[in-house]
Amino acid sequence: MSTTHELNLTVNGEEWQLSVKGTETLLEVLRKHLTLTGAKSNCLEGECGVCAVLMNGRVVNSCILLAAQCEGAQITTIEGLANGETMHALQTAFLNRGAVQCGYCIPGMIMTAAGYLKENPAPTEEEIREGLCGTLCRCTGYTKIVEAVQEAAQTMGAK
Amino acid sequence: MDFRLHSAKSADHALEIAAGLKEGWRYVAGGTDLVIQLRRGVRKSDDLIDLSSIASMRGIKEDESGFQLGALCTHKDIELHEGLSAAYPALLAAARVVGGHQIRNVGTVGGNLANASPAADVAVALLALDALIDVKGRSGARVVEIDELFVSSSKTTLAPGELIERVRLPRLTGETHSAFLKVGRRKAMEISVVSAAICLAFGANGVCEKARIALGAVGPRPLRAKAAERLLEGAKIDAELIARVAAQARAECTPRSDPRASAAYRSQVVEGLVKRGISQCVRIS
Ligand SMILES: Cc1cc2nc3c(=O)[nH]c(=O)nc-3n(C[C@H](O)[C@H](O)[C@H](O)COP(=O)(O)OP(=O)(O)OC[C@H]3O[C@@H](n4cnc5c(N)ncnc54)[C@H](O)[C@@H]3O)c2cc1C
Ligand code: FES
Ligand code: FES
Repeated sequence: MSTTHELNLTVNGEEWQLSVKGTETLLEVLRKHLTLTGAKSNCLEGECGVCAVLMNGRVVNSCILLAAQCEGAQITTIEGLANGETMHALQTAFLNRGAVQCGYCIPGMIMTAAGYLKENPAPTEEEIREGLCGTLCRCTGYTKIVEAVQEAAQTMGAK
Repeated sequence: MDFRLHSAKSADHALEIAAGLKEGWRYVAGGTDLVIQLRRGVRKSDDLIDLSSIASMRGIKEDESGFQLGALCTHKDIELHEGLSAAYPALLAAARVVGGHQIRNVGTVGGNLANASPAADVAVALLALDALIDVKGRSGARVVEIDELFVSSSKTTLAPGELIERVRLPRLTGETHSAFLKVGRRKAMEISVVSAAICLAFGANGVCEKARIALGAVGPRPLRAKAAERLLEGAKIDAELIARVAAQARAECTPRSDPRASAAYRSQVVEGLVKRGISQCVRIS
């Protein structure tokens, strides 16, 4: 019974005109229509944050956001975070600090951090932990992730 | 999850679409409650009317009478609005503990009210702040006092088809202080086990002139402890009175046991939160 919607979306700087179903989520559009599989498909209930992407600069869970509600939006996924061959400060810091174990949560974690640092460019450790609370990691115990975000904030602030 | 999605261009357009649909449709704003309910199958809707692109239902405005929040304001919009969050600390505190940042960037104030969860954080804060709800239906617009909005879990007094257009917060005068406290099973990303919002207005002599105690997740709806409020009104607040008020507020709750917490635990916690909330308001006055 679903409806079809014409959708204009800018994803990682590239403009798309897509035809999507009313029931499709932004996550499904990214993964299935655009084959951007960085954002992961896990709980589908907004609980774990591994599907996090930026929408107009703010972090959202793409698994519970209806794609048709994103008309005209600017979306940034982990695939679009680097500037060409130059990694984003968060990506560099995650590598430097060894903040990645299995890696499953990391695209969501980095996008959550990227959204949070726009809002609060110089956070304390406590604030980083709160800023990341919507995204879960089952491997690292968070310590190195928090350190990496701290390092990235410093690098970004120094620029 | 199977439904037809209809995009509304204005509040009137939404009402018009609704009038043409068979029963079983719903409005959708951020979808952070509804999409999950549909996916789990706890709710079924053949048609959703998307309110999210209605420009007149966005934004926060201020005038002499107070603040007006479009129903589509997100929790993050509230948090980042300096005038609003400075005037109503209870609202700021509630908006900041809804889910994580991903949820706050999408979930709306209208959805938090209309979803009518007894544990809805922003709804509890707005209840303590005497918010007025501007509602629109086919037969016209009306204003609902927030205490008249909630019936029971998922049930409001909105008539079929009526939508929430905006929320109005009266300007607080003189020495008025508010606080919001929440207890969950973990520190963040957690539905409230108990929440409490307190708003107290003081006269020149330090006497409490008006008191509001709103409580979440301790009854079928966000509720006011009205007998406890009356104990505060006209009194100079001291530790002994705070203890009596908190005990009275506890007596006005009808908490239930669920997988999050037992009724007995909720009763204990609500008493503690009321004490702490009042103390916070008194200390800053
Ligand atoms: C992981 C997670 C954590 C959460 N944590 C919290 C929390 O800590 N505290 C909390 O309070 N909530 C929490 N929520 C619930 C939710 O995010 C909020 O209640 C949110 O404000 C709902 O707004 P929405 O716009 O997403 O509503 P929607 O899902 O779009 O709508 C909810 C209901 O309201 C109706 N509705 C929406 N807008 C209107 C309107 N303008 N007029 C009439 N009816 C309308 C819809 O028909 C629907 O029935 C959480 C949700 C998730 C997924
Ligand atoms: S997959 Fe989106 S929050 Fe878990
Ligand atoms: S690195 Fe494995 S879940 Fe985070």
